[in-house]
Amino acid sequence: MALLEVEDLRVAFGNATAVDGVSFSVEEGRIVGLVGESGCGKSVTSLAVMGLLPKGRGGRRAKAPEPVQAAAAEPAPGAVKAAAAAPQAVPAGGGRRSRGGADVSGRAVFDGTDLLALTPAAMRRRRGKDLAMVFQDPLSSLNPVVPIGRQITEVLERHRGLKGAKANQEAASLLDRVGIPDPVRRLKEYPHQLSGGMRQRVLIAIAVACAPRLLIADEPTTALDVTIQAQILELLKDLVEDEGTALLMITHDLGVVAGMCDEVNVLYSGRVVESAPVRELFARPTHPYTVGLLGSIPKLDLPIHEPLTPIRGSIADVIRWKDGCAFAPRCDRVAEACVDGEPPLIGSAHAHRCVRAEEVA
Amino acid sequence: MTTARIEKLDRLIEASVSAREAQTGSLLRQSFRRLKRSPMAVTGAVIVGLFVVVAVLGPVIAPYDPTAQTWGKEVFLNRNIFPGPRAENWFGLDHLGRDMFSRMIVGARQTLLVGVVATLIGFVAGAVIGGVAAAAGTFGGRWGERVEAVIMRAVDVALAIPMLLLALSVAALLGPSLSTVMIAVGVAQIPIFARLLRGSMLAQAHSDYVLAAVSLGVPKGRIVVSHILPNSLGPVIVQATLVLATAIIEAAALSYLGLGNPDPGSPEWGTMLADAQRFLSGAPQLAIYPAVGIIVTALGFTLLGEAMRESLDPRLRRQE
Repeated sequence: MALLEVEDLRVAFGNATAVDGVSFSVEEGRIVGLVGESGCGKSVTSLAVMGLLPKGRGGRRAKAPEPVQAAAAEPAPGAVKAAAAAPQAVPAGGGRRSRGGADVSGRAVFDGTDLLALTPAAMRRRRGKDLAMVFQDPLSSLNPVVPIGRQITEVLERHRGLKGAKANQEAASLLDRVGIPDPVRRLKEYPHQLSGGMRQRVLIAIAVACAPRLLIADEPTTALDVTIQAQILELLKDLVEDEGTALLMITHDLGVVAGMCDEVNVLYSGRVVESAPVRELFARPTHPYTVGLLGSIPKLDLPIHEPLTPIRGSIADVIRWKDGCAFAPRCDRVAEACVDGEPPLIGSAHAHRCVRAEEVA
Repeated sequence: MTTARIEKLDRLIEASVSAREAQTGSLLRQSFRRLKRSPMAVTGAVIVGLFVVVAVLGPVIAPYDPTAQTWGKEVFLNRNIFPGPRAENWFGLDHLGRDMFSRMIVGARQTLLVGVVATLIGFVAGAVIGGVAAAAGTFGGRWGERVEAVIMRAVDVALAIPMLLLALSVAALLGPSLSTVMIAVGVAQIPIFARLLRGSMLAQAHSDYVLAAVSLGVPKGRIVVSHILPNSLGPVIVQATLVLATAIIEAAALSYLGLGNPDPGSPEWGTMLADAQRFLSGAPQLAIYPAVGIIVTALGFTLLGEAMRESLDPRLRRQE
């Protein structure tokens, strides 16, 4: 059994469905990529797994036996989906409006326990200890008025019970491990005194402080320039190899995926459209969206002034997955069959969600 | 042409060097360095500094006893004769023949005391109310949100009452005295501080580093106290300097309306202003001294507060 098994994860903000039935798994010691363009639900997926999304109230309401919905006689997760798909069925005036909370359903099984079913207190004990996260923007993710040493020891104190000089010592050795020179002096510095790459190293040091078994990196290199990107990726790779930590890598950069990941899940409009080992995916992309993504990467051997090949349209013009392939409006090879019901996930080792895969390939 | 270009280059280098220097040290030190370069801040600081020195040393540096009616026989109320500035009495005499200069100096102490204590009352009570509301609303779940809503609606109601009216009601309730003025002015400031701190904390509560702290399993109370609060206090501290100016003016207003210290001998700028009103046509200078004192002091605190706000504001920081 995999370390993290996400099954049929759904996240809805009010009537907008951000993640629509995502399933994937992360094995121990493996690097798994979650790839897709902005708004496809990759960050929301990671936040849902970490239990960091603000709680919505819709879920509660949907689970309560409602006379109209009861006729559909669906289990609770289905009811949430139905509510999302048919907004008019839910009385808009019923109850207080939620403050942009998220309704999460499905399962995220981590080492035998469903994280989504844990109480907030139990989840808090696990966060930072069993699973930790590295965020996108290293400057805003560090508290500007607290020295970085304090920010590291805070976690050590909480999860490992280290205090005072011992905690400081451990913090310094953590900084040393992520490649920050002169760590003892750095402990007293504030985030604004460090460079972007250093800050990201500090964030990584904080994340790995308690040797988590799963590390989630949400676009860890987006805010950095290219040389620093390479260093940070190398560092993450080393840490994973040394500790046997599993890494869930969220990115929109296929270059990062090719260099880092063992397995890749391509997300489109809140669903996995293709899932394969990394070599397999780059060698034989099957879903037209993956093909399009790979085709839009600039290549060095193309003649000068040759325009890049974009995927037309934007992620905004979507069909609901229930009615057909959400990518259909942007697909060059769209046919009748594409908008004729929900496209299933085909295959296991190299799975894809395209009904015309044989014809396309 | 070339010399102009070299000069320009020099200036650029200088700017980059000073910018690098400015990046060392803590945020507070940086802000302080910027503050020293601002003429507004320096002017404000000089006025405030002078005022504080006068207020603290008051009775020591005053040339005469402010309550002694030493020159009472030289003042003729019915003939509008008030000896003006002269060598022994720099600001002249008031209607009872007391030395105005000494009264102004000694009166500064009460003005400062009232301003500081009233601001502290508002700051502490407002910060507690606003902080509790923000913490409850952010981390308290459904119940917390209700608590926050109740607190903040109460604050809104208090905000809707004109500040002077609120202060007047409190003063009327407690009877005229010096502590009444402090409490009244302080209570009137509570809703402002509460709202400000809550807003500031809510903004911080949605920041990335709070999410990062949550993702590391840091407990809620800890996040509020050691992450959100220190980042939210900046605007509140700045507001405190601005409120200090308002508090001084309001305290003077309450004294002017007769709700201040009832002891007629004890000099206070607001009371002095009220006394001078009766002789405004004959001796306008008696009103001008305390009025100018109040205005200049309030201006000093306002200048300092505004400059502090600018130097601490990260949005304005980049423009340098």
